[in-house]
Amino acid sequence: MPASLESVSELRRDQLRALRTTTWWWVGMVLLPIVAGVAATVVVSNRSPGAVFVVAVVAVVATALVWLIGTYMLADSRAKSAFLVAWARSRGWNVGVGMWRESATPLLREGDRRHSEDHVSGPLPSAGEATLCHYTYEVRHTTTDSKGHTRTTWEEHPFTVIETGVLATGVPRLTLHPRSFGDNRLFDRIDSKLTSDRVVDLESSEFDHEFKLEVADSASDMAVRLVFEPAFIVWCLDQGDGMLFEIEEQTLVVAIRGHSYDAAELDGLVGKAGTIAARVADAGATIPKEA
Amino acid sequence: MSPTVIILIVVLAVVALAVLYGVIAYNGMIRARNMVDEAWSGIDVQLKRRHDLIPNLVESVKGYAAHERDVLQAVTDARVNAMAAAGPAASGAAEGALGQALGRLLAVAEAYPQLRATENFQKLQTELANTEDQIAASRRIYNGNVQSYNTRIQVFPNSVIAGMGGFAPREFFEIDDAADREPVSVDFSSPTPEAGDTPVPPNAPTGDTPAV
Repeated sequence: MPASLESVSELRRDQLRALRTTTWWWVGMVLLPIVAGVAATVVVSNRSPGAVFVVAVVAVVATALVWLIGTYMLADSRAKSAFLVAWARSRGWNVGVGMWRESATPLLREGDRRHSEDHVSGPLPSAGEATLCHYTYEVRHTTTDSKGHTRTTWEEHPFTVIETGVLATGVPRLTLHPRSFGDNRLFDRIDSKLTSDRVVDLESSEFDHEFKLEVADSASDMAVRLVFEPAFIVWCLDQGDGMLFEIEEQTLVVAIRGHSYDAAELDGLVGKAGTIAARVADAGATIPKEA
Repeated sequence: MSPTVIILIVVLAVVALAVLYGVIAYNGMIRARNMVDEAWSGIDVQLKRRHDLIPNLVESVKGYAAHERDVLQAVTDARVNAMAAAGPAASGAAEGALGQALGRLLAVAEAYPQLRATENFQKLQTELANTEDQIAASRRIYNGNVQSYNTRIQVFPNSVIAGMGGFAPREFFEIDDAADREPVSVDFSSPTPEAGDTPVPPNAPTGDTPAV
């Protein structure tokens, strides 16, 4: 039974308390608003005394607020990092990149720019070493208004990801994603024609309704069906919307949406990755060589 | 354009849409029916695997408990009936009876520690437990497909097309297990477990009792 961990909010409270005990924090908290107030007074010194007073007070309060918000954000960031380190250590995992491979699977190549952080690595149950991290891909949206001004915004798609090596015999690439709104099965055949992957229909209509399973055109049907034996199909269904995994070039990536800082959720993700890796390895061991 | 032509175009468009809908609905029903058949063949494979394991299991037990003739014969008879059963309803009933007979056989085996210790018996038990898991999963998949297919052919206007195309509702695969229907008996007179004893809930899975 892993040791219980302090939640991010508890750690944040600790961090805030620690920050408030530092001299530089108090210097910033007292001096910066005074400096801002004085500067504002100088800038509006030609106005009436009432206006000068109001502007000075606003400058003092605004600077103090900005300082407090900055403090909160710093404490939050430190608390999240501390939580992940504590979670990793309590599970026998190490802090560090481990065997992380950038762009290993389609999810890790999505978007116009991408980054990963908070890497921790360790063993999966009944499988090999894995790396867990917070991964984000961003999609660029460019809009131009009637005056010709161009504005670029970045839409973030955060995930918590586990990456591990897996011996996937006969399956060079496989992706399993929950079907989203608009991802209708009517378009599966067109998708299969237009890409180097094909959509596979398994024997469960419930599974085909919930998930889109795509494999490389060169993948062996037998190998795919050996992985997706009835018990594994039912297990995937029981995971619900949280089920998302990909295999490419002997790398398995299992992901959940959002950057998770919840111990139960992270443990669940590790458990899922272990189950999938073991299933793929078991199926690979039973497949005949020619498949 | 004259009103007659407009009416004709509208009627043709409606007819074309109806035909298109009919084709899509018909193809959908064919697909759903094929999914049911595919799922049933999946169950069939697992049931055959289970039937193939039983003679070896019976032989293993016979080597240590040959005098438990009634139990061994019951398993053999139940296996023959299960193999002869055709269709989900008949198979469900026969497999339920086989599951109960197997349960009794494994209960008998519990009384023979030497038998339980043999590698062959342990392997057979593990294989049987795996097969039971796969049967349970295949059953869920099959019943899900049947529900989807039956709904598809029973809703209007699909029911009209289903009637013309000869699509009949399919049966669910329910395994009859008399133990499931027995009322749970609670004995309040039994002594309170002493500290350190681990109470075992009634019908707790033991890992070696068929749980289909």
